[in-house]
Amino acid sequence: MSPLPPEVVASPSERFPRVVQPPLADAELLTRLHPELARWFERRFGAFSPGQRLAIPSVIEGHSSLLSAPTGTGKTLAAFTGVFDHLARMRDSDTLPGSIVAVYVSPLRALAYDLQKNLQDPIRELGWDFLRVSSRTGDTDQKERAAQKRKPPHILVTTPESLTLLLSQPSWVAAFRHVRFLIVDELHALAESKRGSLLMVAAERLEEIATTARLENTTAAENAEPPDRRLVRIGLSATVSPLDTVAEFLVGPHRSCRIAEVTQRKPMKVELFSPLRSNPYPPAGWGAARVLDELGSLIRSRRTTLVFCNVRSGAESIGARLKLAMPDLADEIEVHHASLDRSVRLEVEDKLKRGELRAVVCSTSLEMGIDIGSIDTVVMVSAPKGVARALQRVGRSGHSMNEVSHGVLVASNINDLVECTVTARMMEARALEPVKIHDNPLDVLAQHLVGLAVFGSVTPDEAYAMMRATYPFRALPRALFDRVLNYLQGGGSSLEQNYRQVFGKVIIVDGKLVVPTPRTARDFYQNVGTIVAPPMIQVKLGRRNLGEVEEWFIKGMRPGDVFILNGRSVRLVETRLLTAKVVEAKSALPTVPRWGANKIPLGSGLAAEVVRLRTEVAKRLRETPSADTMSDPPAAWLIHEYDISRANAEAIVKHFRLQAAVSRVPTADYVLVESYQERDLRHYFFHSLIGRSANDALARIIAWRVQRAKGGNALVTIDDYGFLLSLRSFQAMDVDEWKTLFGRGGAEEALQGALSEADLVKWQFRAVAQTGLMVPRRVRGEERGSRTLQWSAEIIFDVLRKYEPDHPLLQEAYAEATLRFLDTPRALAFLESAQAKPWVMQPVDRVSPFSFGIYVSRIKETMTLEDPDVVIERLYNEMYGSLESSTN
Amino acid sequence: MAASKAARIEIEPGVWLDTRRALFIEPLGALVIADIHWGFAASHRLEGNLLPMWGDDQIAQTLLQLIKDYHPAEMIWLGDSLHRVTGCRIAEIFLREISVLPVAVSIVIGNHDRKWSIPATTSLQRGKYFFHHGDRGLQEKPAGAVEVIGHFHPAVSLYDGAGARVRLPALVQSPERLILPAFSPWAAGAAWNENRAPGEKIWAVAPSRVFAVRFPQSPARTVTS
Repeated sequence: MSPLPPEVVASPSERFPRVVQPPLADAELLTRLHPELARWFERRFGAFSPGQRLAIPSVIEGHSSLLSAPTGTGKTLAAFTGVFDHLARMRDSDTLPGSIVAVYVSPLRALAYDLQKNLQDPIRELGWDFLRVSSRTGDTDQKERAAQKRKPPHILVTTPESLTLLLSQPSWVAAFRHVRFLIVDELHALAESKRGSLLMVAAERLEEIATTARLENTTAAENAEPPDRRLVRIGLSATVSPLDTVAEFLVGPHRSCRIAEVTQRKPMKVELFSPLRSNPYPPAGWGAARVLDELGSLIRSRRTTLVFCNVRSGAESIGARLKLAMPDLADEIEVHHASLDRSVRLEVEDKLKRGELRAVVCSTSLEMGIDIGSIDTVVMVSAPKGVARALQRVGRSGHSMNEVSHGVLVASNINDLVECTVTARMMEARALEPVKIHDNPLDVLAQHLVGLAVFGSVTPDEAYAMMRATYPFRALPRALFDRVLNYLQGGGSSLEQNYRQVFGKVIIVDGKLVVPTPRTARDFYQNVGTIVAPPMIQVKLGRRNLGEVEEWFIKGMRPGDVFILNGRSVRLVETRLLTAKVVEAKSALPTVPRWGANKIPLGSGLAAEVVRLRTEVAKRLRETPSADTMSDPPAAWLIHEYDISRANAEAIVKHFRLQAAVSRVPTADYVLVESYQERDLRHYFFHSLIGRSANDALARIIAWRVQRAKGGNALVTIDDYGFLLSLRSFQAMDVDEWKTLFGRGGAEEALQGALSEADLVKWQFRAVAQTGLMVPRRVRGEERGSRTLQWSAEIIFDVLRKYEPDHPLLQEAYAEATLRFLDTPRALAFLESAQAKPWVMQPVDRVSPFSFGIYVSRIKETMTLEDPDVVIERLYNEMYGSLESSTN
Repeated sequence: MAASKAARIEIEPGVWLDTRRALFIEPLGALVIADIHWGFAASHRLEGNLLPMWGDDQIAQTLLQLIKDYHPAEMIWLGDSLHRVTGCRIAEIFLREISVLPVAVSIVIGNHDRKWSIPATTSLQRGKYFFHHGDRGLQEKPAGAVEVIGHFHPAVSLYDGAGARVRLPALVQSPERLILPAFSPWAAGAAWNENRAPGEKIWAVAPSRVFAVRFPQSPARTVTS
């Protein structure tokens, strides 16, 4: 093991210098490249793309680099040009090793597969048959694996899991001794997930192997070599912010990294589209059904349209309805989402690439990755909830450097229209949400410690130092590290010493981490990774695998129920342990409306902008129209500020006037609580505009305090815009009592109390226990039934909570629940700011228009039989139908 | 820690269900325990699951307390006393410890402990009760006898309609058969709500009391064992 890299104390601007101007003119850059490569590049492309101009010089000089540029701007080629150059020079100087020189890591297997194919073309055109490229993922077959081990490729294309796996096998170490490049694709996505943490520790081990190899092979004099002999890390990322953080994630807290950001944007046209016209309460539908006609005519007018929905069930429902509405195009409209069977998805992707489809309706599944061919237009049904996400989606159209990206934001209701309005503006300003990186994922730590123990050569101190060299573990306290190690040694706080030898996953022999038996290593190899699938049931139509749905969804159904999967209605025939048989149900209406409501929370920047819009419009509601233009001041402001159509602006203003008539417009200046009596329930609406995962945390804190203060349960409903507490009359509270309940002090304890009685942490624990190897996913090569896992994880959770409450995996599950599932920091910030503002309690005689969304999400979640859209529609007109005319 | 003797209920004349998941048949002086799963955590660890070493001490303490409370003449372990045969060491230590007490132990073999080399039987008849583990389907039980079995780890899921859910171990009672809850503290149990056959009564075993569960509707399906 080599010593720690020296502590570098440098300001971010020194450690992460920006490459703003291309350091070389194109002609000069070509002369720097290996002549064969330069000739090929010129012939093939003519010119460099902006990203390539910025990044290639850094890479050939041997600097780690982060290249942030929109999709389709030649990022991958920028990275590989540097790699190719290096490989050709090694060949010329006869120093090309028979082992891996570059590792390319992608989060998606499909992307890895695609890239391997895409590298073959240039290599063929270059005539470089000396180069071996090979991909290694979970799908690689046994024969291929053996071949790779015998003769490692020069370029290894892989995933974080497979790389970790290879680096944990002593027999593979030699293949990595000459590695020089690590390319990480889709870095923005990896940084936010535990898979990214897994990868960054793997990168550290790669660095270690390469450094050790060089130290062994070089004399002391040679050892004083320039830093460019280090591992060169290249991060490729779509739109992301802040760049310094992502760069640091890539290289760790002690190394430097150049940052190239492509500021010259691909031309982008973003349109806002709302079927509301100027009427915020049109007669047809509150939900997305309303947009179908217009969506249909849009699809007809384009060659290929990609339609994004925020949830899978939405994609299914819109896909099915489009097919029904346009029978002549039904065969050219497909659905794509993560629950569909892989073969179904690949078929859709291939058809899309071949230009055989007019429209694909997808969830988030096509946001990233594979080149999906030529798309004219990207439609987003309902606001995409985040600026980075919206930009990423629009980037899927006009997928080449010079074409215009065309995005259409479709607002399905009035709240959505407001959100789309601010989204479009923030897309233009590229006001991205900051990435959220999870510190100290203890389950990932546990996995890597077992991986290191396989080698039997690392001391705990060295392992600790290695972890601290990565960004996610940069501040890992030693005590926490030791607790994880203690767990792996088989010790709980209560465990007798003599159990350790037999039962742990790691033992310490002569001061080194060692696995107790070869089987521990084998078990570990089968369980590398952090992806934990929810229990899924295969849905079979005849012999065909249609896709998978969550087990709980199927459990709630009876034979005969109709649901939608893969854009078609199917009828449940029977359920077995792991499969469900269905038959085609022609065009029968679904009896079960949705599954997997995995909703994306509203980004913090967007939320703040919606608050600003509310505040500014509210200010202008009472102003009189100016004499010269005769235009309504709030509408004029909206048009001026957001460049939206008059009809859209008027719809928004009508909505605000109605809110003002029924209640008041909540703004940044005060906290509004609306109270509404409905039979024996008293509803309190809180307009905390902080996104649903923060409102979830906030509502749990407040509901817990209500229970403490008044007794009885509180019924909680949350959405992005606020939350609703439905109380019994005896729990009624006045505004001062509410303000007290929103106190910042003790909020963490209240949340802890609330969570101790909820299933949420238990639910997270299941995944953590798998990743942390307490209950490995696979045992002796067999995938365990998810039922068994659920069973054991639930009881282990209860046992740990009682007898070992400070167990590191329990702590990780709690962090997962409060920081990832819930957005606790944002909830706490809201409490803080709310105390400084005046509070207003507004009794209302009907649910206010701004609260309507929250109110109906309560209906949506409890209702199954009637079409929710129809019910909501009816309710909406009952509530506001009579008021409309009076506010016009 | 151990529940008091009062936390029990008479489910039929002379037959008591204790919150500690034990059945006491007073006319026989028999304490019946099903599915103890000694050595559960240890055998999981041998399989590669790094479970906390917990459970066996709790089993031993609870069994001792039950013997103290009921003074049974006989204690019947109704199968799956071990989780794996590797759990025999800890079970045998316990049996040695209580061999000084005036209680006979009868061991019925279950599917988990077939390989246990200890004097045991596959079924027992005591009075009108016919004991077996329950893993081999219907046994040729003597006419008129009441079967007492384990094996199924019955439990009952209760909902409050507002999102809260609890699962409690349960005893399933019908005129011909009693299915005991698992004694193992690791057993979550399989929800019996949907499996309920007509005429079956379900007793939920909460930590501090036992109660009969009333279902709103008639059962959906018949038992499929």
